Order: sequence, then C-alpha cells, then structure tokens
Amino acid sequence: MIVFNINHTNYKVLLSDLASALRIPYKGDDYLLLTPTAGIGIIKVLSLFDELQVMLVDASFCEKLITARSQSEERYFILHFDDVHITDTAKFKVDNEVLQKSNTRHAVARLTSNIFDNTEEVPAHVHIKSVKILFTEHWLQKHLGLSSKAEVLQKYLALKTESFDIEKLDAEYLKLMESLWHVHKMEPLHNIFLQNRVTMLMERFFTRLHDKINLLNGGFKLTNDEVERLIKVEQLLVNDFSGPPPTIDEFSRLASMSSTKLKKSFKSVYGNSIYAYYQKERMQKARQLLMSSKYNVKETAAAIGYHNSSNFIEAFKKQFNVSPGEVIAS
Amino acid sequence: MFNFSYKYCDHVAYLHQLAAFIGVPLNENVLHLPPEFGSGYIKVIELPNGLQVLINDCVLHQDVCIRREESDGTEYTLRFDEVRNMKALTLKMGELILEEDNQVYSGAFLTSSFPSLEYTTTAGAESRCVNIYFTEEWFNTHLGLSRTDDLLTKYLSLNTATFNFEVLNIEYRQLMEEIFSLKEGHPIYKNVLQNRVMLLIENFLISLYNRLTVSGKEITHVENEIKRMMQVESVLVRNLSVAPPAIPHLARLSMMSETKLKALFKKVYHYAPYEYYQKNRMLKAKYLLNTKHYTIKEVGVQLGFKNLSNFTVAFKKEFGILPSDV
Repeated sequence: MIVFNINHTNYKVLLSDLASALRIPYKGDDYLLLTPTAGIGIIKVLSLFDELQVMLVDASFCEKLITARSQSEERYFILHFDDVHITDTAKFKVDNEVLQKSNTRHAVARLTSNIFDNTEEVPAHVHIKSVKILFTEHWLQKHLGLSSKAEVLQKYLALKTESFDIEKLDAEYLKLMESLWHVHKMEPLHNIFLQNRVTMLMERFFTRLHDKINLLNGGFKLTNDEVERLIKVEQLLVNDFSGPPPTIDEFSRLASMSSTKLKKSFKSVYGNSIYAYYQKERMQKARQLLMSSKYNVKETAAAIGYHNSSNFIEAFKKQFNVSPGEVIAS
Repeated sequence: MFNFSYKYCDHVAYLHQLAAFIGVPLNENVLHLPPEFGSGYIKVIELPNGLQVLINDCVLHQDVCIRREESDGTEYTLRFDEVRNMKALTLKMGELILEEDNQVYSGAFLTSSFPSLEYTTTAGAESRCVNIYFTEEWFNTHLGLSRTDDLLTKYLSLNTATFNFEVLNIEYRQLMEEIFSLKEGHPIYKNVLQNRVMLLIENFLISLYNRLTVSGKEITHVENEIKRMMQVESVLVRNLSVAPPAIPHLARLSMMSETKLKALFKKVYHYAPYEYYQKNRMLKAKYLLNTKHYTIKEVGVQLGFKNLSNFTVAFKKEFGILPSDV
C-alpha cells in the first residue's frame, strides 16, 4: 500500500512527487511512464494556456494507491472523470463511499474541492483511466460567471452529498476523454485541440450540474445568509452521534426558519432530508470506526447511539449491503 | 443604398460607430435594426478569454455596402457568413474579389487589418454571421502557436479566391446553429459561447493547416465549381423532412456529370452527398431533442422518418447513443 499526500496545485510537481512515492525515475517530462515494479501505464500532464491544470491517467498499479488531499487556504476545485474497471477482488473507494459492485465498470464524473478533505483509493491491479482538471476559484468566477464567494459556495455545497456530485459518464463524455489521448499530430495546433476538448468536458459537466440544481431547488431560492445558517445546522447535526440528534424544532430555532422551510431548504442543499442525512452520516461514521479495527460491532453500535446491536446491523446492511462483521473481517 | 465605411477597430468600437451612423441607441452592445434598414440584431459579446464576437441575425431592407479601409496593425477577423435570398453578393478583400449570384453564400474566411474589405449585398438578404476578432498577441498567447505568423501570413498572401474562402461544412454549420440557438439565460452562457467560438477557430485552423501542408494536391477545382457545390449543398439540406433530391437532379443543377458531382462534393464537404444529408438530419435530431420541446416520436416525424425504430437505429449509428439518452 502506498499513501500519497497531495496538496499540489501544479500537476507537474505532483508528477515528480508521485514518481518518488512510487520509487520510479522521472525525467521532468510531461509524462510519467510506470515501470514494472510500480505498475503498467502512463500518467500525463497537459500544459494549456488557460489556468487549467490537466492530468491524464491510463494505468494500473501494483500496490494499492491511496491519495489524500487535505484542506488548505487557497481554494481550488478538481473535476474528476474516472473510468474504472472493477473486478471481483477490487473495490474502488472515493471519500467515504465505496463502490461495492463487482465486475463492473465505474464511469463517473465528480467535482471535489479542497473545502473538504478527500481521499481516493485505487486498488492494486485495477485499470483506471481518468482525466483530472484542476482550476482555481478565480477561473470559476471568470468563466462560469459565479461572481461572489458565497454564491460559489451555495451552488457547490450541494456537491458534498453523494447523490449530487456523481454524474454518470455517457458516450459523449467518454468520447471527449478518449480524444485527449489521440491528439492530431499537427504540431502547432494540438494545443487548441486539447484545450477545446477539456473545456467541452467542463461545459458539459457544469451545464448538467446546473440542470440538476434547478431540478432540486424547483425554483426555490435561498439567500447566502440562509445557506450559512443551514451549514450551521448541518454541522450540529453530524457533530455527535452518541445521543439522539436535536429535534427539528430546535434546528428551526437555530436557523431562524419555520420547520417547513428548514426541511425543504436542507433537502435542496444537501440532497437528503435532515434525518436521512443524519442516518447516512452516522453509518459512515460507523464504517470508519469498524475499519480502524479498534472496535467490535457492539462497541461501534454503542458509539453511534444504538442500544440494540441487531438494529445497528440491519441499518448498516441497508446502507452498505454488507454486514459490520464483514467490514471488520476485511 | 446603405453605405457605411470605417477604419479597422475592434468589434465593440465598430458597433458603436455603426449605431451612431444609423442613429439608434446601443443597449449593452446589442443593436436592433430600425425597420428602414432591416429587421433583426447585431450584437457583440466579449468572452472571458479576451475574444470579441460579433453575431448578427438579420434581414436587410436596403442594399448594403460596408467598407473597411486598409490600415496598419496586427489584428484579425475570422468571419463565418451564411447569406440567403440575396440577388448578388460581392466580397472584395484587397485585390481579391468573390462574387456570388447563387442566392446563397456560406463561407468562412480570415482577414487582417491590412487589406481593405468591402461587402456588398442586396435588399432582402437574410444574413447570419459570426465574426471573431482577435489580435496577433491574443493568437500567440492563447493558442501557443510559435509559428502562427507563418500560418496566418501564408494564408493571407495566397491570393486565390478558391483558397481563401472556405465553404461552411456540416461542422461549421452545426456550431453556428448552436451559437444562434443559445439562450442568454443559459447559466454558463459565455462559457458555452466561448467553447463554440474556439471550436470554429479550431476547425478553421486545422483545415487551413491541412490545405497549406498538402497544397498543390488539394487546389485543383476551379472557383466556379466550388460555388456550384455550395448551391448543391444548400439544396441538399434545405428540407430535412422530405427525401433528399436525387443525384441526377443535383447533377443537372450543378451542370456536372453525376460522377464528377459526387467526387467533388466529397472533396469539398468531406462526405458523400447522401451521407452528408443524413449527418445533417441526425444533428438536427440531436438539436431538437436537446431543446426538450419534442418527444422522440415528434422529432422522428419532423425529420421524415415513417418508422420510429429506423430513426432510433440511425441515431444510434451516428452518435453511439439512443435518442432517449439525450
């Protein structure tokens, strides 16, 4: 297992650091060829002219590779387009979500930002093809016309929830991704070709994201201040799982909203109703505890406020399709 | 006769001069033509990456002559024009003259600030155009072309109308269609517009590059024949809901043998005539589905498919996805 910590905003530097983490030589080119000890494939960085950093991956690694990106001061966003072939033995993990299905193709786009920590686990011997586009808040404002910080926050906060930030890659996306590998050989023009394909990928993602946000909001607009208050509600909600969560009435006082408005606006921002969200986060917490191998099922159940272990096991199975015992065993 | 002459400047300045000349106010760089001149609009949009795009969609009520004087400087305009229903159209670029009397002109060309440019057409003309303004500096920094001046000056020094005026093929058409149907309310309007504009530039440059590097082999057909191909093309895609005109009919129209027509069409538009027709039809289908105003069945019927499953199959063949996945 290789753990690779990232706080890079420059993909060429990342490439060089990744090379040393994998203990393979790097000559300072735009690409890194994996040697048999590390895996098979290539990782490539594109130099564009538009403040965009782009990395292409077409590889499989010999060891499990965990990349962890931590929060930092300077705010930036990364758009990931991942096409992964998952086999029986391998599980692909993004943040706290594990893609459980076996023998399947996992092809999704998602947006992450360094507002939150995030980790990605690429299991050994899994073939992964991705395109990663890193851009600054400034880029987002300039090109997508999201002018105030609060507005950016409001629109993309919703991304924190799973239902939202994951977009299936259809034929159109895959075609665009593929085209980045097959650049026209006409030297002076390949840059414009690449840049256009990259911006088309982004356009498609953001257009569809916007459609989804509209669908969810149903023409229901929140002020930035209201969003800030919802963030407080969310923080309090997932702060402590050992006792029962605050009631809706308490939350509605905290957020200075009627309970109807609170419920509706929480769902529009976080994609789930308050208690469904609570329950999901609670199970995620349980999973973390179990995976740390420090607690057994009964202790975990107690830690997240279940008096009855079998209720916990049932709830856990409902969310993850595996029992807590299996998580410990693996 | 509307006669306007100006010095080379960027699109925003041009639009201001034009508005002052006509005597109408500008509202956020949009000019609505008053009835005595025509109907429709001319607007300029400044894109995030520094390009200026002038878009017009109008019908002229007067004969028009717009003349740009020659000047120094290293500014360029890439023009994409689609003009229909005119009695005549003349484009003069320096010494170079293109005259069109086919009722339809659709072409792309690049001009620099150096040669003068004159554009004349008649009342009744329906004009849609996308003009992209950029400086040499923009070109070098945004496209990273170290040998740009080469490419551009080479192009501009080639004084043959056949070479300089490129026909608008299906890719250009589609991009223009997307630009004209783009709603200003689109959440990332400028970004979408910018991407289409960049794709227009890309297509133009790639085609230019290809022609320059394989020149000699390519430019064999005479100017006149290209004009006739434009006419054939416009007849071919005029109505996508009925069967396309028969090849013998197109051959008569272009005064060529069927064999020659097919070969030349393929050379100019990169597809055989029916293939081209079908591609246009499918692009139209995709566009209609994307508007979300029509069901799959309605789109199929609009495009002349009697059998819906034929439509689905054709669509899948073209785009690799089903109409229902759009």
